[in-house]
Amino acid sequence: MLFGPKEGREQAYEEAERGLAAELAAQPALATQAPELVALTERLGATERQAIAAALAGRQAEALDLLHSPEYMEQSRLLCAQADAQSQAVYARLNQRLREHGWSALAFFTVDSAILLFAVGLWWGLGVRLKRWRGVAEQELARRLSTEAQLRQSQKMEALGQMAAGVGHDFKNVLGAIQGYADLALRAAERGDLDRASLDGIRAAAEQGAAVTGALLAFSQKAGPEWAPVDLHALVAQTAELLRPMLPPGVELAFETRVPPEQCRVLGDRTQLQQALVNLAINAGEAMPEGGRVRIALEADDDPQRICLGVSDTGRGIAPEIRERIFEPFFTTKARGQGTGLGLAIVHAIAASHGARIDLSSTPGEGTRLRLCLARERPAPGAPEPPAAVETRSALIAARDPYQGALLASAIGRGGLTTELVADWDGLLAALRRSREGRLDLVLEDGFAGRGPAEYAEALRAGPGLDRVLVLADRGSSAIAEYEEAGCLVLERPLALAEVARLLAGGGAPR
Amino acid sequence: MTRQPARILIADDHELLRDMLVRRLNEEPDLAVVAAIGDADAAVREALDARPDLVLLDIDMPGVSVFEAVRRMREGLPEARVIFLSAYVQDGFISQALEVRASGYLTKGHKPEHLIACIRRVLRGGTCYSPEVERRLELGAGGVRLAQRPRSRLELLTARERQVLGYLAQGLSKKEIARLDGASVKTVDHHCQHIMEKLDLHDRVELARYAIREGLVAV
Repeated sequence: MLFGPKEGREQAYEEAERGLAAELAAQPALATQAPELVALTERLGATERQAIAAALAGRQAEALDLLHSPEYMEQSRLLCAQADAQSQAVYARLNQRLREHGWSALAFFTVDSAILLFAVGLWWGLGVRLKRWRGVAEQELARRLSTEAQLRQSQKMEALGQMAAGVGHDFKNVLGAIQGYADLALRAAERGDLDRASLDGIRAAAEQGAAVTGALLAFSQKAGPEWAPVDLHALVAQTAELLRPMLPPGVELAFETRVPPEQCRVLGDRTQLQQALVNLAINAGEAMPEGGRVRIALEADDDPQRICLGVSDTGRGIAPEIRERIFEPFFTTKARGQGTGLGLAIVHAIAASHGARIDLSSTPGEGTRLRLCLARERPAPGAPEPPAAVETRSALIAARDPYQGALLASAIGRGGLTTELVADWDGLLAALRRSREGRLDLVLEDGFAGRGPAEYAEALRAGPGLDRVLVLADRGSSAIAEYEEAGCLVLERPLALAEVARLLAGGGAPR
Repeated sequence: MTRQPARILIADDHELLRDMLVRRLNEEPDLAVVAAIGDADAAVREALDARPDLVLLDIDMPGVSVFEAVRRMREGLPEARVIFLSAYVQDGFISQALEVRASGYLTKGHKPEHLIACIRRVLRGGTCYSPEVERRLELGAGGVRLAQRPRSRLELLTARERQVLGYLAQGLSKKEIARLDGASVKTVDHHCQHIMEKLDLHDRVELARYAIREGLVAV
């Protein structure tokens, strides 16, 4: 008989279960396996919570990395393996207990099946749970990315729309002037006259149009941060023209500077700084729906190395309880659909990328002032105005690559020096021999004409009229010390072309 | 004997501007426009046919990329000089212009006289990059390239100069520095002069403040 009476099977099963429970209680190692499973599950949950948090903060790459990290995969595998091992152990001990009571495995087919189904169910349940967690994280990530992209786009479109209105207005004037002057010039031509004034008018209108497009292009073009010296004075003057049509009616715009324009240069991304200024000014304008005054000011900072670009308004001011939050992305006090809450967040990000300090002062009911205090840049070399009628100096350029030499010559020439390129060793020696009179600097690239420091030192003795020798060498080159011992001014690459020009334009002590 | 005018090809899809350039350049006795084209593909064909001395190319034109157009032109015209014209100062354009060893990169909006001066300079073997483009260039080990990032003046100093600056900031005399450094006073003197030139700082107090700010010495 394969199957005995039902009561007998139930009794045997109950006995086996009791025995197993007693055995589990008596063995701490077994009792700890279940808590391990729980702990492992919690670790997986913690990783998934981190991934969701990273996704919400916009660090989608980090979130995906967490969900696909080797640790996460290993922990998932361990969880499944432990669940499996646990069920196998329970099954084995129950089976053993039953055998001890003299029942065949076949007789306990139903019990075996139940245990097997339990293990499979546990395994499947954990799998489903993990899959659901991952799905939730990925869905949330996708949703937030999509929302952020839409919000950024809507802010950009809002700004572009406002600007297009202003530019359209300016262009209508420019085109009207061109059409009018052209008509006058044509009528004069039909009479056989030359209407010079009308032609001048066309040219002036075209220049105005060029100024408008220049400002628009400067605002719209974007290909990642582009670092260059920025004249804040010019930037503000140009941006003010763009801003006027973007501010609510009844808001007056004023620009003041308390710093000489030549001290208003900073190193930064012009487009980003302009965007920060536009965002600050729009924010200030929106704080005064009933009208008021937006003042843009360039001011000295307590730190003489910095200059501050400030925007103030005469609006409602910022309540103390929200001051800490105004730079948070998506934080806005405006009604739903009226603001993206990204304007000041973008200002904050731009300030951070420029190492700028943000000063905020606000009095409720009186107004707000926000300042970006940026590190000053010293005047760049090769400024458009060359030094007036100073003694003519010249530079001899000995570069391995003629194209590089020509670019160097162009940059140096902009600083007011005359330049001569030498192509080979004989050319260098001949130019040095001619240098007996007048002031001459030499820009020498290490390795020019296949020579080294000792041969150059010998050659330089042929040029007593030589003022200074600048040597361009690769950073860390072993030849640098030799050049330094010989009194040469060594410039290690990479370095800005403009720095070479600055050093030569600055003159300096004789060699 | 009168010298032959330099032969110039103009490629710009803005017809009004292109016609103006043709008329203006042809007024110069030493310049002659041999072709005026509105797209990059035709510019390549015309250049290989007309064999100009200099090609003036608008960067943003229909057809093949102008940088690729220059490469194709160079296969048949290796000596032709190239000047790019563009309304944009974009890093991507600048680096590609350097890759094809363009003689010039001018932003639009300058007066025609400026362009003519540039053309003459390039025909003499020079280069002509707009100042706003030139400011983005740096000298790297492989030649002139687009600046990777803004560089601190401190990077202008060699390792020994940085060391000497540290000593100066600590108040050591040149003699003491020479003894520490195992160099002559004259060499140390050279280092001091070069440090001041490179940093554009001209007294010890300024140098010390700079060194402290840059973390070369502890306060």
